[in-house]
Amino acid sequence: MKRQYFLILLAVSLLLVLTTVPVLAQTYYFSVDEEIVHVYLESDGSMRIEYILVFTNDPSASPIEFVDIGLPNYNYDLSSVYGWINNQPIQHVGKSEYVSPGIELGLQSKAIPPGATGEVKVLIDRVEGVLFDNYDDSAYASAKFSPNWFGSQYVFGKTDLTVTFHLPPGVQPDEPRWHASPSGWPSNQPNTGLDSDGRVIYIWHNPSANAHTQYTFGASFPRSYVPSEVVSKPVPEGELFQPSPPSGIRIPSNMIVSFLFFGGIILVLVGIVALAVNSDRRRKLAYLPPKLAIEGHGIKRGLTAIEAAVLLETPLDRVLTMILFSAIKKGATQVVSEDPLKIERLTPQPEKLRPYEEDFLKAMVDEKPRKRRTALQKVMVTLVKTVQKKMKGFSLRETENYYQAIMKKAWQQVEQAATPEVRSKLYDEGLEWTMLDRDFDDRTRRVFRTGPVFVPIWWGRYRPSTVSTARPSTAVPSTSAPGRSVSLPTLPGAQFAATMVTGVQSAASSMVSNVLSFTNGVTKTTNPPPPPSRSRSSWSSSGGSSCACACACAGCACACAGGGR
Amino acid sequence: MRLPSLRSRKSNMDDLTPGLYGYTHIIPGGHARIHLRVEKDGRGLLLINANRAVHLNPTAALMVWLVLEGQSEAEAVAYLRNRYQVASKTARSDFAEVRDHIEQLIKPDGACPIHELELDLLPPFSETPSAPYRMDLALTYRCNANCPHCYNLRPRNYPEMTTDQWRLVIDQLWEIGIPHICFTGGEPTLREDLGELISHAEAKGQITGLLTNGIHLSDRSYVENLLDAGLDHVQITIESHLPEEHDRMVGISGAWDRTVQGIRNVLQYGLYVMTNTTLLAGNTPYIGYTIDFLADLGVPTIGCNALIYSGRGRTVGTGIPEDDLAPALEIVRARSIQHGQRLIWYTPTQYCHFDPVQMQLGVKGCSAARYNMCVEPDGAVIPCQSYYEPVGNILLDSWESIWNHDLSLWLRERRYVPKECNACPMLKECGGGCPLTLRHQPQQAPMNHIPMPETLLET
Repeated sequence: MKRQYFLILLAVSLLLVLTTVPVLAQTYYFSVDEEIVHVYLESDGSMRIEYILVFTNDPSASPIEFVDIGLPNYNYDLSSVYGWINNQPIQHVGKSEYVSPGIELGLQSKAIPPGATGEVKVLIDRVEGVLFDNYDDSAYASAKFSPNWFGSQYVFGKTDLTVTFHLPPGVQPDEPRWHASPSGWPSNQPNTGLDSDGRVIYIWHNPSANAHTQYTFGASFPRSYVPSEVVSKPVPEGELFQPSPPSGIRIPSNMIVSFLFFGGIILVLVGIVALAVNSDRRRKLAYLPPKLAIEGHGIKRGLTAIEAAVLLETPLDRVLTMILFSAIKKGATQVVSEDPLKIERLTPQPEKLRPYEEDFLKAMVDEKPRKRRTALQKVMVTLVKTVQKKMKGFSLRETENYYQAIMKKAWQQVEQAATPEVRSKLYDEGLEWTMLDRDFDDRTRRVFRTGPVFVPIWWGRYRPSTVSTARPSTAVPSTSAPGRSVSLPTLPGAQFAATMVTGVQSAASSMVSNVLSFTNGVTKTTNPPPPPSRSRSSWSSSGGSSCACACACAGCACACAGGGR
Repeated sequence: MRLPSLRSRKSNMDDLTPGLYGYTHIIPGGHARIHLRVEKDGRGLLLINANRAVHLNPTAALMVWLVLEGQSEAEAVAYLRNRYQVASKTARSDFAEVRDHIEQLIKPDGACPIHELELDLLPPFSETPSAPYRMDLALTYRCNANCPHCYNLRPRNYPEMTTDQWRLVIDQLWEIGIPHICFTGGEPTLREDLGELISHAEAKGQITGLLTNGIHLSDRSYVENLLDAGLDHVQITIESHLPEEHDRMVGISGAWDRTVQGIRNVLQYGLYVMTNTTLLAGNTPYIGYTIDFLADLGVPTIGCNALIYSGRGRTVGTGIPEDDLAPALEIVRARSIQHGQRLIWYTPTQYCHFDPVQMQLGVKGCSAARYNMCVEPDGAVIPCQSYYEPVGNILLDSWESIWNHDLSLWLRERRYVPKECNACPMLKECGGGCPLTLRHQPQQAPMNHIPMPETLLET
């Protein structure tokens, strides 16, 4: 991924400040143990902001009853702002009386008492006018963001701060540019990756940040991904919006846009009355549900698309078809009869066939339906168990999300292709992954509704009869023959889609005749899945559980304990 | 239902205060050692047998404490309702779930915390504790072996603390909240007060381990003394099944016989026993036979690591490049599975060269100044046994200053990670490998990064 610094950027600044109200002897002293901020830059140029703030109120401090959140500008819709305290919806969400522009969240009965910890979540669904021209490259738009910071006299301890920029849908990984991390940050660069929707993300993380320093983050991306009218000219820094501070609140001069603080004069008075009435109740701490967590590795990377299909519980007939396609694409086999399906192995056999492909080809040799079905069932049982074994110690949920993201990415590339040639090529390349989609059939029809399709080179080994009706063309090379430029035939898109969908639907039934019976034969062996391995001995002999997951726990990673002696 | 047979090291049912709480849970055929570390902010860390760490929010910490103290559900609910604004039904339900989870986590054949209990999953190395889980105590740098690859950088006659000073160190470590101590060196069995120090730590409630070359363990009476002191586990270094190769690698003729006798001796008792073998050019070609030999001896757990680039290890030249580790580990893993042994791989590597996760060896990253540190014979604290740069003295400096020393932070926050690694999706697990390898093996540069998801489309 191309990286470079962009030092001259103007963009959105969301500067949040905590101040106190020096009345009624209110004392504010707290730690922000964790702050997670997601900044979504949407394709319409708007920004969606999500905050998770974990406050621990000092035992000697006043209750935290209100949280005011500053916003980048006035272009937001109050009805799309939501808040939660300890996962309970906050009923009072309104325009802030103390922060302008900004919103306030009244915690009411769920105020964070002295000595307690509370998690505040905020969703600002839509803020417009947040993108600006990039000084260095007119083809790029930029956004810049500072999460909240507080007066150092009010906050103590470290803050585990994570800021994630989600770039607009469609931005390719090698296109955007991150801005250098703030001074003093552990790394000069953010971590990069894709979110569950396949969007490029930049993640800045510092487990030892503090909540009284202003950190600024930024990113740039090609402005073609957002409407041109939403990208504004840069505003000279001195002309940035300066809010009028409410009376009685001291505002440091470098705090520009908005503020966050707890309490207010009138509201604190109300709080005191409530405290008197419910003094016994208020002495108790707010209840947070218990949470147990373990460190471990989440995502099992490196599964093939077919293994991922098993993981995602794709219907087994679809998985069989995927194996068939995979073997055909690799040049290991070709169809000699479409109905009933018969294949023959090609020579020479390609190297690096997967074990399930090898087993599949062996199983297909038998032309007796019953024997073939039994053999294919064995292939699937082995495959399912292999995937189960590979998943030991990994998070099923995170891994599923990961492969769903790859599938979405594969579709996205196909759907955004500029020409039929590129679209055909990308469809061919990503076929194994798009087949993970439950909506594969309809989506294929939609994608190839219009325009010609450049038939992949392996298509002839799958549907020789179809290729014979196709028109020759000067097409792009197929990925099945990298580096070779060959003339590929074309089919009308709709015809190709119909052939593909029908083929996928019918291939498995051609192989095993009764798909339901076939599936039952597999799942009766694999469902319920084999129990995870357990230790057979106790601490006295084994030191505890030896489930594979035990080693996933980073706490067990006693690296170098006596090693090397 | 109450957890039976719990022995509390520290209990005050008036309230849960910050500190370390130790428990022993008697189970059929053995026992579980459980520690609950409660932080000032109320959050907790549950350590089971010093090898499984569960992170707790304040409510969970309180509930775990109530469970470990053997409180009944009714007692616990009353306690919770007195403290929190919580409905009885919610408190009962939540407490029951926490209790069930704890029971499963303690059981040696309990449910998998990831798949079956579905505990929240935190990224590896994402939590910064207030102190390590384990402290290695290098009692002495004297040694009765002379390994050419030894990572020790100090002279053998390095100044040593007295027994009383080591007692103070152990007391201090308990106060800091460290539940697990490993006695190491040099060769810790050369200290005559080893048994005494083990007893002292056990009396505090700490789990004790011994990392040794096993030579002194060939004396059965010596082993019994250590057992009487309460030693929980022992790790013995054996480099080969071939006596001549082992003796060559440890630099002492006749060492193999005594080390193997030491292994035989400790296996006769209820100790948790494991061996460790450093994979070097000399012993790796025969590593499969070594594993077979250890299986024949009855060793239930085997450890392996690569050369540590410290001390003589920097120049010995017998290290296996990370790219070449996989074939050897494949053999070790296959043999250990065949023999029903548990395999522990120690070395943090760059995952682009050697990925322990994909080899099902677990997440291995540098845990120096995070999960473990080391106290030198003179009381200096170093980030790990092999990283000889003190960050303070355990008896002279505040724990705060040691834990938050620039070097501690530098390592814990992985500021040493090469910039090439920043785009790698495995960075959290990998952490760039061992900082000592990075420093002393610059030729082993990280690859740009492990492929991003979209490049999987090309495979």
